[in-house]
Amino acid sequence: MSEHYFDDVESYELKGMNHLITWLLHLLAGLVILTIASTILAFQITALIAIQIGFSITLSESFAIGALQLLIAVIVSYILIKLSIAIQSSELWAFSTSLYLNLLLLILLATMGTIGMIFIFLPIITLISLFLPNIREYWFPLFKEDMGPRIKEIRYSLYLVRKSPLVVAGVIIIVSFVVLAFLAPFFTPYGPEQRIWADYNLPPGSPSTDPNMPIHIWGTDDSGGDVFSRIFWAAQVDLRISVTVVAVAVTVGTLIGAISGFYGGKIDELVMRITDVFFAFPGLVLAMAIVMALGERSLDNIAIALMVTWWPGYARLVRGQVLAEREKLYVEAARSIGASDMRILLVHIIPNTIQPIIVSATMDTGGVLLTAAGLSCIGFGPPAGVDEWGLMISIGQFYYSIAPWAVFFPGFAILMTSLAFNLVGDGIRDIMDPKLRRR
Amino acid sequence: MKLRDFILRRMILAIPVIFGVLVITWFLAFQVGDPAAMYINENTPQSAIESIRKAHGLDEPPHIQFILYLTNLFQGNWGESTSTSFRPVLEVIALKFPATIELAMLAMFFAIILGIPLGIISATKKDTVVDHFTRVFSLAGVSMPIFWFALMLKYVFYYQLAIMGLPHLPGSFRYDDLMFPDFKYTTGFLLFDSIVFEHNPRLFLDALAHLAMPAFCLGYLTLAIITRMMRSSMLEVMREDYITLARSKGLSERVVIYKHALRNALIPTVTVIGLAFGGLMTGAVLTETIFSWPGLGTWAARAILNSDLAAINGFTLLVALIFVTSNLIVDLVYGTLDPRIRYG
Repeated sequence: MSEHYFDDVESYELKGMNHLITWLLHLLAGLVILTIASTILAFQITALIAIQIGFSITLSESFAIGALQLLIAVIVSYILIKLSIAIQSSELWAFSTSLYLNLLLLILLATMGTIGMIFIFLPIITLISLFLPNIREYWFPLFKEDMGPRIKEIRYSLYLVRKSPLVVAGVIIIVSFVVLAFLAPFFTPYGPEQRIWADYNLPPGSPSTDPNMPIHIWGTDDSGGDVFSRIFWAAQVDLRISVTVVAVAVTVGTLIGAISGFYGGKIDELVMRITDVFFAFPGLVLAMAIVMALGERSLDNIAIALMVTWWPGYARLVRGQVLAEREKLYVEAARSIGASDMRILLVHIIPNTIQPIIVSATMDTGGVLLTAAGLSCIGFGPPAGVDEWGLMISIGQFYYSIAPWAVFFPGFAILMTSLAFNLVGDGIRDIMDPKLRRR
Repeated sequence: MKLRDFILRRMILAIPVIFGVLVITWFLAFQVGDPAAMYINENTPQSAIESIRKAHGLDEPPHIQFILYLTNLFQGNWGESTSTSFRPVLEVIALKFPATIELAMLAMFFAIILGIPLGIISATKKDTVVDHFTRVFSLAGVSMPIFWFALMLKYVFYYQLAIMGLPHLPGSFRYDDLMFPDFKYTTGFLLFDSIVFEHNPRLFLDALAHLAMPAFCLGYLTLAIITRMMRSSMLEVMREDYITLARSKGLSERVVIYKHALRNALIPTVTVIGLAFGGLMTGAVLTETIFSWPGLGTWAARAILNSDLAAINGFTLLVALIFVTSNLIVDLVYGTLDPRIRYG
């Protein structure tokens, strides 16, 4: 039918126009497909980042979102391929105005997506372009000369790390726990909230009563949840909580402590009295009260409570360090060339005080894990059924005589993770300590 | 004269800290829940609820209530603990305080007795098998989830031994009240009461058996901290010049370690021991919950869960007082251990 349509118009110019339009539209279609695909990619990456930074969505859900976006991409690209074929065979519907208006809208959205993507990838592109051979020669020799001693020190530190077996063991445990937590959707035989009520309190290694389900490697708890699967689902939650709490506490504590130590005077006095008050509490009791005051017993509230109770330690630590560094010659030098207070503090002083902060942050990650698990163990955590190590022990303690494995394995996971963080922290302290470093 | 001034100054400095603790806990506890809820059941008429609120001063705005609480506090009325059958908080504390302190004391005793020798051995035999073992042992103590450790101990030493028909350690409470139905607390410290007032060695042994697991469990963390501190300060001291001098004088290694090094290495350890008392209070909450120990920790956890305001405030105030006092004692002991330190 379309052939007839163009056959009616016998003019050469029109035929040429037709070819041009077809070619342009092909180009357009290709562009649209590309931009839409890139938009979807960009959205997916932003969503992933947002989800990982934000709280309550697990990794498996973000994969589900990714799959949905992929489906949309497939459908859209299918439509576009169909459209381009229709244009090639000059079908009438391929030339409707509303279709192109919609496509225009899509292009607009896609452009926005691309810009977003460029913003996301800009650092990566810059980084890659910096290492192109003809650009590299401009900065690399200078950089090498500048960073030479530092790189040597880092190499030496890595050598020391390799030499101490305890640190290596700690790093291996942490890395494997993190990897296992991320890969939980792929290797755990049971889902996060999956219960088979018929097989409650089964000992480790026993088959499920449902013949289609895999065996319970580490047994089941009182509600028929697979302990092995639950532990690795819970690892996601527990590691995320301990790392976020320590990150927030370190940032807040460092800033407050640094400002208080640097300026001294009334600010210092006030901050130190506040930290005194926090030190006169047992942290656990304060955290318990905060969780209850926030209204709802949940992991997020436990995290908030621990953030509130944990920062004074860092504030004190950093303040002491800053007080010692403040009087040193390099600070005087920086001030004499007119550096602002903020610059001196952030660029000169804090990097020189970072070592004890790193050590205590590493060790505190284990401590936060213990406290969070302890809180949810004595009933300040989420309701039963959520995968969290402390909660698993809390529920399991009522059945500890008939199903000790439901208590043993989660507690052992806590012990191992916390021990690993402590091993690494302890090792880092020995490695970074200038007194013990070279001997 | 100088010492008295120092103590006085420290006490005056402690006042704002205690006040800050009171302010924070009171306003946090105010958010925890409605204290009137414990006086009310489903049959209470609306008018009675109003009068209950009025009687306990709960109809006032929060800051007035806080001031009311403070005035009552200074008159020796710490409020009534609604979750402990409405008894006065001070009375409940007097009842439960000895239980926790006895537990904490025994844990501390155990930690010191084991921790200091372990630290010394570990430092003197640095980088040997003994040292590695001690380091892992103490690191495990720092990273041990107390509640889990308690349950595991209970499973092995109480449940498994009992199943096998062997003599086992009791898993909960302070003494066996079926064996000793006539026992009445005098001071509340069972180990003391049983010998001095009851003249009953069997009760003493029973109380000791009940204490064994919770105290070990609670003391393990402190033990680990003391061992680590002892090891590192011992290593530090061993590098000093006066140790080299002592050795070059021809003194035996024993005298060098126990007379010259140990005395100096003890100073930082004493600080840690004093500060660890706070850690014991935190650990007590978890340990007591698992072992059904009728002490302050269980009481505090239940008070918070039941929005028992007076009990929360009373407990934190008490703990803050203990903290301040133990810090003061640490500083005083510091002075006697190290004569170079002046109070100022």
